[in-house]
Amino acid sequence: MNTAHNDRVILLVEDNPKDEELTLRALKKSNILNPVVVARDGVDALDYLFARGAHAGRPPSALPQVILLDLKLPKLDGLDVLRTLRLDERTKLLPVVILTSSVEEQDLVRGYSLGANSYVRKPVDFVQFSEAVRQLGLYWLVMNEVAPPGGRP
Amino acid sequence: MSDSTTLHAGAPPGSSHGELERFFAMSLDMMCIAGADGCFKRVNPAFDALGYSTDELLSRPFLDFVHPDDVPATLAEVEKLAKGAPTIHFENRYRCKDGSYRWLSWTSAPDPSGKLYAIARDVTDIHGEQEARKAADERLRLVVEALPNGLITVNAARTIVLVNRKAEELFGYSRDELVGEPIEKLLPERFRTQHHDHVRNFLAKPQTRGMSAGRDLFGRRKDGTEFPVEIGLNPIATPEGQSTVASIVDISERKRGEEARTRLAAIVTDSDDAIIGRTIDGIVTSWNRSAERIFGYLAEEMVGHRITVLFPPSRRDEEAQNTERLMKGERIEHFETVRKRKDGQEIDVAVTISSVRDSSGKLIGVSKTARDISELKRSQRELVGAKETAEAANRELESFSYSVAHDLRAPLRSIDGFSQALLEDCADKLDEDGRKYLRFVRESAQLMAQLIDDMLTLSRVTRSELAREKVDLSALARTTHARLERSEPGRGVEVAIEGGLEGDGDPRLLAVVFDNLLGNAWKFTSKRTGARVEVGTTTQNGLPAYFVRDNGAGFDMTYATKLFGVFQRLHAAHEFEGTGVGLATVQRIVHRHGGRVWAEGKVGDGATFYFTLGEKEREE
Repeated sequence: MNTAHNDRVILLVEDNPKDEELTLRALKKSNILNPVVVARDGVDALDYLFARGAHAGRPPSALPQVILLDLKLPKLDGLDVLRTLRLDERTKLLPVVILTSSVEEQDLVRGYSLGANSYVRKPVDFVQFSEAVRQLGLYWLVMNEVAPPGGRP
Repeated sequence: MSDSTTLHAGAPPGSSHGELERFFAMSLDMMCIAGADGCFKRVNPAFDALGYSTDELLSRPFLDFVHPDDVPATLAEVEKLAKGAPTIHFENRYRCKDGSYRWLSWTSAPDPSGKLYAIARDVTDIHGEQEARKAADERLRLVVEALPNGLITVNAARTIVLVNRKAEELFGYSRDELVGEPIEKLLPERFRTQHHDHVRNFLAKPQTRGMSAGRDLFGRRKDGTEFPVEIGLNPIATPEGQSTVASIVDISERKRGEEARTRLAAIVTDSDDAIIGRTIDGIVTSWNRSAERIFGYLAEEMVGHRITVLFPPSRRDEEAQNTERLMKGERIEHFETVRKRKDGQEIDVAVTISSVRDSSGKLIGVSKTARDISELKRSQRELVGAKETAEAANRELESFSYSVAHDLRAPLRSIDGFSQALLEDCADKLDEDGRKYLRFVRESAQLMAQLIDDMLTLSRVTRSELAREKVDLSALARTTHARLERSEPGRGVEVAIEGGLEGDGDPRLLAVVFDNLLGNAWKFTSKRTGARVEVGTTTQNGLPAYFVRDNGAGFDMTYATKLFGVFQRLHAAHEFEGTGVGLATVQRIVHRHGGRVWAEGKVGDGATFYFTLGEKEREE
């Protein structure tokens, strides 16, 4: 059902390998077959997006369809990553879904203030988690039309 | 000389007539004979004293020589003589040749011939003395009248014989109403009897003295009112016997002044503040009891000594600076500083300094009040410290909660997720028990997650600021109800929410209250048919009490107080799931609003939870 978009990358920014495993499992169960690139910390995520550091060889114009961003991350936390993205012309319109454990009010407010497109709390119940991921994939990979790369008006 | 010649001429010497003529010529008294025409016919040499010649005296009517003011009286006296009444010591003034007047005292007997035979004695000198005495008496009278003290003279029989104007004024009587009356008339009744004894004692040993002798004396006015007096007594001997002059001063003003001074002195003495007087040079002039207490020095140790012993080295310049400011006319109000006690301890004091000036406005001293604020300062410091500690603890709690929210949930997610993965991927390798155990693992993980969420809510309730506003409680209840319906559609619970419920509180926290209370009602009615939940209001001690009532499982009132404890559960987990945190959260929210929460119930017969929202509602 999502063949039209299955070549676009999903960038999963997640430092916990078990959560990564569960997220990938949930995506697979939901028949979302897009390639998933995993960044383990905030710096790694930005390096990938801007094709630098370990990702220097990557064509910089190829941007992910959606970023699933955790908040508690090593080196640079999720909100800092988001702030940096929104300040850069190339990434300022990139869809970012905050996918995290807590719904502390301060995180919600700051996340949306910095331009997050969605904020989803990871449920402990895996069945619910899978359902959340399925709906996210359906929305951001299938339903949603992405702004042209480079963000020209 | 010529006069006497004249006299001699008419009197033959040697005869008895002649002898009489000698007396006539010798007499020091003036002798004269006047005719019916009002002129002197004969005058003796004593008339020389007037300075006229005999011819001058005989040539004119004698009335011409009489002082104009005395003419009418003289005429009247002549008239009387004519009618046969003798004149004895009639006095009038005769004009001398030099224009002065002499007082003459006349004696005359009537004579049928119509002639006047009269003898006059020059009483000018006697008259002068009398006049002088009268003038002196008058002066004395004026002085007595003008005295600023009341003056009353009393005779030995205690009868008033003299009253001056001030005494009239003091007592409100005219002197006519007092003279002849007993002195007791001017005393308050309660003193009258003993006054007799006092008078007797005084007269037995009369000497000038004050009257009060340690007693308060009072006068009684005509209108019955009393006033405090001071009386000086002077015995005087008069021809009529022993009298007493009482000098009376109204001391109402002085008494009032004394009372005011006494009151002020008491205030200064009893003040909790140290009240200290000093000269401009810094020498202590007064030192009250609180000064002794606060600074540890006795008055005798300080009065006459320099105030600078109270200044710790760091404040040495303060006194000079303050004095300089006062000299410039500035006021120094309530500044906080440090002083040193006798024992060396430094104390915080609040000081107010005012200048003391003489009547010409010259600065003559300084008065200062000092209050020991060491305790206050200590409390303030402790309060600031406690606040900082609390804030630090709160910040720590906040970051702790934040970590809990994130970090405790992640492992639970793995436990649940991989258990589920096992169930899905390896179902064929597990027997029924194995699958059951994995389900238990998942249930436990999810309960743990719920516990964490509830604990975080409870902690948020404690940490967050209370933002009170008018809240539509009916709407809050309806929102919660709608959510419950969505989570468990088709439960068929009959829910009745009273409309228009309003409360004064924090809307987000009150939403948590309804989530918990309605959630509980929803949960505990799950095992019966005809479930009914009611939200309404009643009155408790004049305040609105909101309630959530259900007809569910209820509870044993024995345990009613345990309901609101954290992790306290009255039902086994297999009957009704729950974390035991919800009602603790409700209680904490209600308490933060200054309200009260309580419950009524019966096993198998439902439960009602009530709460109030504190005093603020009373004003509405």
